[in-house]
Amino acid sequence: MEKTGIKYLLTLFTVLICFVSGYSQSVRLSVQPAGLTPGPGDTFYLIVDTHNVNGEPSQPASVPGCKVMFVQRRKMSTFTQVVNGVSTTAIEASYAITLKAEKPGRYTFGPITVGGVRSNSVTYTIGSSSSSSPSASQPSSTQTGGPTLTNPGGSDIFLRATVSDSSPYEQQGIIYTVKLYTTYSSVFDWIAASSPSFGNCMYDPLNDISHSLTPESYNGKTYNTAVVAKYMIYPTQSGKAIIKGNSYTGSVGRSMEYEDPYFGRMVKTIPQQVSAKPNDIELNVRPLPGAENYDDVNGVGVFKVTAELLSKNFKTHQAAVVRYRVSGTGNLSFVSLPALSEKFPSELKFLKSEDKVDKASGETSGVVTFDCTFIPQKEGEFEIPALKFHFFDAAKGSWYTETTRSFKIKVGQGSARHDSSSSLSFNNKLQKPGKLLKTHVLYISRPLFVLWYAVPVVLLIIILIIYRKRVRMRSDIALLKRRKASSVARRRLKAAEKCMRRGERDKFYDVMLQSLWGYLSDKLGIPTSELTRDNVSGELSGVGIDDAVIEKLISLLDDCEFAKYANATGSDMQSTYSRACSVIDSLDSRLTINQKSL
Amino acid sequence: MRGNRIDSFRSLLVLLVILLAIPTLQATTGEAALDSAYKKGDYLKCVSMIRARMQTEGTSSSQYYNLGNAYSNAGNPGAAVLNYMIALRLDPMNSEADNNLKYLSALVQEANESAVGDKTLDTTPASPSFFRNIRNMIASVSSDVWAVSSVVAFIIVIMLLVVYFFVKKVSLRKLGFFGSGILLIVSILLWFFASISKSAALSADEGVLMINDVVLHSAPSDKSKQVAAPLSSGTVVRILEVTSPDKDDEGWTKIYLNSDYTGWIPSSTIEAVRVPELH
Repeated sequence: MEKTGIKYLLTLFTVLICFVSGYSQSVRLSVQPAGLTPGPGDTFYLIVDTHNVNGEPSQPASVPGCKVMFVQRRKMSTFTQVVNGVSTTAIEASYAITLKAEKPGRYTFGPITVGGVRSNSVTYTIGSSSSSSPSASQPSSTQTGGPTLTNPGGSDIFLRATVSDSSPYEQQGIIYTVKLYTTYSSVFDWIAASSPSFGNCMYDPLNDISHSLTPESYNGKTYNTAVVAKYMIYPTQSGKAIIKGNSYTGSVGRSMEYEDPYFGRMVKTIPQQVSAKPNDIELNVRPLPGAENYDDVNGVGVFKVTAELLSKNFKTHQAAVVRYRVSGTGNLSFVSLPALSEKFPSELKFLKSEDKVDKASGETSGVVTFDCTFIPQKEGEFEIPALKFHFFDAAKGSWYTETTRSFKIKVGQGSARHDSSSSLSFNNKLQKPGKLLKTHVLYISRPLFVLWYAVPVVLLIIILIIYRKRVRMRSDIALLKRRKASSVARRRLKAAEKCMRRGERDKFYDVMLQSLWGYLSDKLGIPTSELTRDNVSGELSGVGIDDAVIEKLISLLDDCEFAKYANATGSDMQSTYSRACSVIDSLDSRLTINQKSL
Repeated sequence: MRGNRIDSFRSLLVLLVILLAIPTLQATTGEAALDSAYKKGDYLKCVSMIRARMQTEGTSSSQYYNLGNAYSNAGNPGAAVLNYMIALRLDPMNSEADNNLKYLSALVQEANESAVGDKTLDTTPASPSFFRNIRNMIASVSSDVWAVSSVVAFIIVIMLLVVYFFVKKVSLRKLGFFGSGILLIVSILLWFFASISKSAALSADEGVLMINDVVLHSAPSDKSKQVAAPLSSGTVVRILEVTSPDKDDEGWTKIYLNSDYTGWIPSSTIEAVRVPELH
């Protein structure tokens, strides 16, 4: 009975297709979503269904009240039917013109022509206010304020953040959950723009995020919900901590009803972009009461500690391992060991500890193992001391101490070739930080460092230049003196002549000697104080003066000095004067020639 | 009225003194907090405190040394060795950092030796080549010290040249001439030492294993044969080659400890010794 029913239906369907497909051509315009009034900024679609039309609708230049985004072919199907040897082909296609509503009002669009076939025209209304807002809930500052709901297209979507405990202790692990509430039937591509900001808290992302929507009732309404983010967070500082939600984006499926030319009223889902942000949460972090009474806080939670020696034989300079196992419930990732480097005897040098967190169920319960490597340095019997772990039970609000067992070990002789490590000792003191710099630039990397070389060189060059200038200036003065020597000498001789006439004998010889020595000094470039008869005669003969002239000069000098100091009366001033004139003349002519030739 | 003015002046002065004292006060309270955390054995807190201060105020050789001590006490020889080495890069004459680095390296080597088991493998680092040895010797003195000595030598060169040019006495002039020549060569040599020390301080060819029991591979792939025995964290090796990470591969580093221990390790297990703030 059922089979014949299906057969009947199939036949009917085929006949229907034949009938409709026929040879008739049509282009039909419709607006989707039907019955909805889009507001400015909303997108809606103009559907062009063609039947047996050879051609595609072109993108309309303008649609009144809207902006044309793009044209997309949605479907195309070809039916070929052979009835009584005659094959008929029906082609149908559907195109969606995506429009963005801009101005409110009532508009009519069409008819358009596709492949030479005219369509009907459609009328649509653009409302004054946006009916479907793509942005969802606004963040609210406190948890009690709750998330704000918005109503996009008659449906809700919002995020709600919760914590397992809003006033936790320091280091106590709490769970932060972001849940999505929606009345949409489907949500996909839900992506976080960034991770939430946890303020002063450490965090671990958890993996149990839901991948499908589950119905849940909230505020008396049923929503589809999904956990989109889950973190284990550990406050590190007491006081207020604010967890800021981040924004998420995704797509929701918007169900729409439309009139299908063949199947009547149909429901279809159109994706729509939405974004949402969960509410911020303020945590009131309580300090661990009485934490200052304990050397170190090893964890917050309920834990048991056991110790186990992994190595059996102990030899000097051979690494050995002791394992501490902390199991229980609490802030597993942050459980720490007491300071082993101090607790271990110095003969068993503690080197390293390696921790492994093994979470059994969820995030909070499991086992942490610490494998601590130490290296015995000496033979003998030593004790690995019992370790005290101080834990804080957040549920009871009280402290308790777990003590491990101690181990007595006997260290035998290992390989003998190392004594380097045992002779060294660890310097456990901190240094004063000294001068802190954001960048350390070595002297040699500084561009001005080269000045340390360049400046002395430049100084040296300047000093040399000045020195040479001064030398040249000094030699210029000597030249000038040499040039003026004869005129100076003649002027002095004139003065001597005056003295002679006045009969001033002493003064005459004085001036005479002055003029002779002065002349020689200027001409030869030797200071007067350094002149002697020997160097004068040597210099003069070196210049090429006749020995006779030199002899004349020397005897003249002798006579003058004799006359001056011995007060000899015999010598004649007149003859002395004329001799001086002739000597200077002959010297002058000779020296001038020499200088010119030089 | 007058009294008032003096009072306000005095209070202004007091305010000024307090304002000036605040940064030093903060620094000292920071140090005191660090000291107490260190004494309490809360080494991880010390690490985060030092790191925070490094970010806000800057670094120094001593800071890295302190960081190394905190890591060392916390049982993390990899990070400790790395920070001691950085401290020595900033100040090669930080003898305490040098001492603690030697201490840890000796222990790390003993740990490496313990991991050898029945095999016959040498875990001592290969002795450096002749030139590398010279380089290390030069680099054991800070580039700045070399640079300053070079400048001092150069200034003496200039002074000797002045003697040569301006003094008449022949013996002094001779001293000036030959002395300046020799010292010029010395100054140039010292400058080279400064740049060698600098390049050693900036080099990135040394690395420290940061993870326990790092297994060496014969090729940059997980599937390739394992080489020698695993190395402990804190082992200092030469970096020979680094492959860039692929989309499904994290990147590999070829390391060299000695002829027995040469192979590839995942780049995530090693940290190159580098001081980004040093130029």
